[in-house]
Formats: sequence, C-alpha cells, structure tokens
Amino acid sequence: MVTIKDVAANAGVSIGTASRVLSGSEQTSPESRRKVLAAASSLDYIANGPARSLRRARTDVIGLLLSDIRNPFFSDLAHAAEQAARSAGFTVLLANADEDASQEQASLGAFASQRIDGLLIAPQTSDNVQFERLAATLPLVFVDRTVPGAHVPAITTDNAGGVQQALEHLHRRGHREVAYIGGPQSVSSARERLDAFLALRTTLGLSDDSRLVAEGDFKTMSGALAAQRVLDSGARPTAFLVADGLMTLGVIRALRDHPDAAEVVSFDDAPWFDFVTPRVSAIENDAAEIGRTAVRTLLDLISGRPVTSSRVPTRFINRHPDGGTR
Amino acid sequence: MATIKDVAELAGVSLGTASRVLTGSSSTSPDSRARVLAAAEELAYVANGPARSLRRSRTDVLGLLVSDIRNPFFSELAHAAEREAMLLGYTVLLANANEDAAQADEYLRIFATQRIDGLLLAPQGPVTPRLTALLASGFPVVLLNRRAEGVTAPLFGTDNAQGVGLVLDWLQRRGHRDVAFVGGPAAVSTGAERLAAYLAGREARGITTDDAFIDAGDFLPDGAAAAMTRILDRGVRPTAVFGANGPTTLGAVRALHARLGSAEASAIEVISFDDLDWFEFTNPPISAVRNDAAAIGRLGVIGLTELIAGRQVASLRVPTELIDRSGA
Repeated sequence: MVTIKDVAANAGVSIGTASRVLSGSEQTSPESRRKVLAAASSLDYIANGPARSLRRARTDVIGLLLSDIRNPFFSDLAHAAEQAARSAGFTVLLANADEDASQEQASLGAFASQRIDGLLIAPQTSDNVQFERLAATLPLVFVDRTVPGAHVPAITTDNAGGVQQALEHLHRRGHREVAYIGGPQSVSSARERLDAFLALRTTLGLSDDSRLVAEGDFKTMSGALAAQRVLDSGARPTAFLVADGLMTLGVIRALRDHPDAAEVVSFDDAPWFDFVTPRVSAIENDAAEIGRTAVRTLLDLISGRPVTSSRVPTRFINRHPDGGTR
Repeated sequence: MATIKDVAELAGVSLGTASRVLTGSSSTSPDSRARVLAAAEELAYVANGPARSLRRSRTDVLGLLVSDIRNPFFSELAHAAEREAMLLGYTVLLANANEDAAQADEYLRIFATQRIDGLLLAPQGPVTPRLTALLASGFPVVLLNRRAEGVTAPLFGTDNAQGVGLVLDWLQRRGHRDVAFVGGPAAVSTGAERLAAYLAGREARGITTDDAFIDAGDFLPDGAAAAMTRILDRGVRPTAVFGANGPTTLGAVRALHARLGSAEASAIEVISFDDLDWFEFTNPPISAVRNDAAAIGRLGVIGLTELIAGRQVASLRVPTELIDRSGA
C-alpha cells in the first residue's frame, strides 16, 4: 500500500509538506500543493485511509456532511436521515461544510479519522476526481447536490419541476417582470434552478431583462444584497423567485423599504412563512424525504445491493388567499 | 469502571469473543453478540476506551452532542463552536439528541467508541450510567447550556434567571397581567430554571398567578403547540404569551393562529426566550431575549481544549439581552 512517504518522495517535498497538503491545510504553497496532489493521484494514494477502518469493522455509524447547518433545509434533512438510520439500527454523525470548500476538506478529514460505514454528502465543489476516489474507498451518496462526472448515486430535488410550478403561479397572477435570486453556480442545485428559470421565462413570455437576475451564496445576507442590486439596477420587478429559504429571508428584509412590495416565492418552505408579511409562497423542497431516501440508498450500498439516483418531487404552496389573479 | 473481563464474565463467553463482538468483528455468532452487548450495556462498559485512544493518539476531532439540530439556538451554537475549533486546529463532529434522552444516551455510546479528543454535551435530562461512566473515565467533557444533576464538568450556558427577569420587566412595562407561559420539560435544566424564575418573579410584576395560564411542552414546536392549545382550552385568554425557547414560541404562535384565527392571534403580544430571525416580520413583531448561542459555543470549545490540555476550567453563565420589538 502506498504511504505518505512514497507520495512525499515522488513529489520531492518533505513528509510534513505532503501531510499538510493531503490534510487540506492552507499553509502550503500552490507549487507544492500541485506536486503533492499529482504524486498522490499517480500513486493512487488514499489519504487517512477510510478504507482501512471500513475493513476493520462495521460500526453501524454513518456520516452526513451538510452544506450549512444553519439552513433549515439541511437541519430538516439531517433530522429525517437520523430517524431513518435509527430505525435501521444505525446512528448518524454530522459535520458542517458551511458552504465552504476548505471546511468540507477538513470535515472529510475528520470523518476519515473516525469509524464510519458510509457517508452522505452535499458536495461543495465540482471536483469529480476527489469524489470518485472517495467513493472507491467508502460507500458514498450525494444528497441535494451532485457532481457531474462523478459516478456517485445522488438523491436530489426536482429543481426544474419546482421552478416551473413557481413561475407558472407567478405568470398566472399576472407577473411579467420576475426577478431571480440564484445560488452559487459552483453548486448543481443552483445551476439547475437558474437554468430552469432562464428556459421557462422565455417559454412563458416573461421579461428577459438581464438586470432581473442576481446571484447569492445561499445564505441570508447575500439574498438581501442581491435583491438590493436588482432594485438598484433600474429593473422594476413585481415578483421575486428566490433559490433558497435563507436568501428569501434576506430578500424580505431588503423589500421592507419598498412599499410597492413585490410578491415573493421561495425555493424551500419555512414554518414561519404563514405568519409574516408579505405572505411568502413556497416550493416545498422535501428535505425529509431526501434524507430518508438517501439513508436507504446508502444502507443498500453498504450491504452491496444495487442502487440508483433519484429525484424527489416538490410541491407548490400558494399562500395568496385569492389564489388566482392579483 | 467495568473492564472487558467483566463483560466477558457476565456474558459467559471467552475474552476473545467479547473482544471480537465489542470491536465490531463480524465473525461472531448472533447469540454471543447479543449476550455480550447486553452485558456491556448492563455494566455501562465503554468499548474502545476513549481514554485509551486519547493516550494513543490525538485526532484533533471534538464531538458535539446538541439537543435539537432544528432549533436555531443549537445550529447557531454548533456553527460558532465549529469556527472556534477551526481556529484552534480542531474539527467538530455533531450528533443530535432530538430532545430525546434515549437517543442522547445512544450517541454517548457512539462518541465513546469514536476517536474524539473531547466532548461538548448539552445533556438531555437525568444523568445516565453511561454518562457517569464516561465522566469517571476522565474523558474531557464540558456541558453546554444545560446542567446535569451531580455532574461537576464545567458548564457554559445562558443566565436563565437574568433572561427571564428581562422578560418579566418587559411584560410589566407593557401592562400585561394575563400572561400565558409555555415552558419546556422540567427534566431539562433550562426548562426548570426558566419556569422557576418566572414563578418567582411574576407576582411582583403584577402578572397573574393563576396556573391555568401555565403549561409545558417538550421544547419542540408540536409539543409547544399542544401546550398552548391546552391553555386556550381552559377558557383563559392571555394578552401576552411567553415561549420558553425558539421552537416553543413557533409552536405557540402556530396554535394561537389555529385556535383563534389570525385577527385575534395578532392582538396577542408574544415574547420568546431565544431570538429567531423571522420575529421581526410577524404582526405584531415578536420580542425576545437574545440567548447568545455563538458565545456559548465559542466558550465551550475554548473550555474543552483547555481541559484536553490538562488545565482547570471554570463554569460561566452568559448574559442575555432584550430585543424589544413592541415599538414602545
């Protein structure tokens, strides 16, 4: 088996440097980072060998690496995953990437040092090689997001279907100037939602004013800033479609100073949307079902059964009492 | 503390068999597996001794067992703990008790068998043999926000009495007499402390002492909604509602709307222990005492790393602040 010594020798760096690069530490130069990763790749080096611990013993523990623990979508997903795992005799350890690729690396390192039977992960990056390598050593299932080119089963939301439900609702209510606050384009769910928005607004004959589209990072503050950019651009949206629940909170905050408050639809429902002004309609993104399905899929994978990717359907929740037209 | 020898003896199997079962080897019979696990359970045996693995090698991983991952107080706390841990060179693995004592105990077992350097723990009610065994093994543990009877581990938590005092003063200023209190479980120290402070301070502020206005849920939205509904079903009509944590306030508001309709519900003022980010958008806006989850998370991690380094650590209560959204 290839050791870190071999990687260091092949890369022409010290073992300490190789270790820092492979554990994801930032105190490395780009040059040594490139050399070490190339050496690790060419030698098929497996960092922190999760495979070793896997072979040693079953632990009935699975890992779940969330994108953002403060996003209710992910805490709901985690809660449902845990309940499903428990009823199958497994427990779940969680880690949080905080929508950050380097923290994702640190969390992967932490899981590698533990005894887990498999891992559910909402990936931060599009590094298909890294995930392919991880999947070769540990049963791995993507949740909510996927990485193109990685042969890893993914349990995701019907993003296009959800955006369609929302835009058809807004169109029916007479909106033509619909703003879109998207998520980070490095994430598959954000890309799929934006692609669906752009395709459907043409089909439905909505305004294609490019000033109506802005990008955030799926967190609250970015939603407020992106909505402000749209409002400052001179565009005059009568409705906002927002790509996740946290950014929706930010958008509502930004719209408070605009008395001609636009209608808001959120991709993600929240229990408090019922009690706030303006009422927020929502695409219910079924975090619980994604969590449960992902656990089933991972346990099948651990038992060596065949698995497939799947999409969980969304449901539209219309909170406008008059329902139809504005 | 129970050893693997004790487990083998109680189970009536050889030491080798007990060891194979407890390390998770699959080459054991279902029968001996069941007997060994039952014996280990009975003796509160901690497999793969965390103390041993601690001496063997540091993993730079900390465990964090929260009460309810869907409660923003705990996700905020976890997030802050994680950031602080990163600065100190640690990564945090989390587990969720879901306000359930049995689930919390199961996670204690899991953490004890994992390779972590220390544990941040929000205890779930009474002390179990497993927690006692873990503490007795000398494993570094700090408590977050909740006390556990007889446990001397350092505690980093909210100043509940001070926070409830702020709520009582606010209720008095707003002229409320008929106040409904929706509490949390008495078995959880925060639930007990907040109720005790409320009961001790209400009369002096001119708030009703009629216990028909008081009920308790489980610190989760559904249980709180049921508690709020029970209060309303007694025929009393509060002018203000005090929710003892964030999810409790959500449940109480939901029950007010469901039972009374939005118009009547909007005439009732609500105040919460724990501030949530949507409180400013309700009608009327919900006031709150801000329970500084981030500070508690950060202090907990600093305290735990001090313990790991073998230093003495003192408990600390973090004060709350009032977020008054009444416009008065």
